[in-house]
Amino acid sequence: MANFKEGIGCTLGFGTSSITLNLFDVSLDGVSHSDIATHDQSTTGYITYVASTLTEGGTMSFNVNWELYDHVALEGALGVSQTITITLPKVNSGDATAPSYSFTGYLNNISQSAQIGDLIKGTLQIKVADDITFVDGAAV
Amino acid sequence: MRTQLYYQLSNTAGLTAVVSDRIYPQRVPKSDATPYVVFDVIDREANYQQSGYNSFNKMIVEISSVGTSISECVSVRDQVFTALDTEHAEWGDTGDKVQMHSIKLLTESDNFFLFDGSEDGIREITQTYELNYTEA
Repeated sequence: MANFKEGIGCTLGFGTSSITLNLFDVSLDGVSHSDIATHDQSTTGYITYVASTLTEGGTMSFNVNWELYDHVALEGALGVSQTITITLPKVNSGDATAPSYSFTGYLNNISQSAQIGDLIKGTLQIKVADDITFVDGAAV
Repeated sequence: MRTQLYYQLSNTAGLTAVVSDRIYPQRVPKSDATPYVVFDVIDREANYQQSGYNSFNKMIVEISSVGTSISECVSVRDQVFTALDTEHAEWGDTGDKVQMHSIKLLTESDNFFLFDGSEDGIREITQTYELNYTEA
């Protein structure tokens, strides 16, 4: 059976900041290598490339239901470099290990929207500033 | 929320002055007098986040103000509107309250019903409201 899971039950942990978050959507965007073209006048057919040596860590984005009793702490975390850990839901509730990834990063953007008939929502962006360590989920 | 809506309607003096205690969830006693108010929940949407349901809810309710003349219905309808027009208030009895956020009137329509061939019939103004609230 494939090890799929619906995207519900994710958590975000800050290494040093103490912030209550009501997470809605979690996305990791733009982990990438640049494409370096290697073709020259003698190349025929398709343009050739190699991947850059360094990896761009990208940005993590979180849509949240805004925690109104804790937004001073959120503002205080802006620009503070710390360990960020995202834990994804276990594939099966009895699994020994939940899949996760962690990295050193910093909160670089927060925005908020208040609309009639909906919760006050916000978006947080965290810059991935170093290697990402991925941990597989495991049944045992 | 049904309990708190009933509490809110039945504890609004302007409304009970018009309909007394004739405020009903879903079903009206067959022999009851007019005017009266009857309400139904027609939709509810709970708010979900990564950690599961939170306490925020959106409920659509249909409320009918019933009487023997359109002016009577309008009088009841106005009092229903006043009873619900309470953004940011708490609804419900002590120990059983909900925190209201916004209350929006969505639709309103007039209806007329004939009974037993009578030309008198009854009239109603039916409104739907969107109630946004947080459970305790």
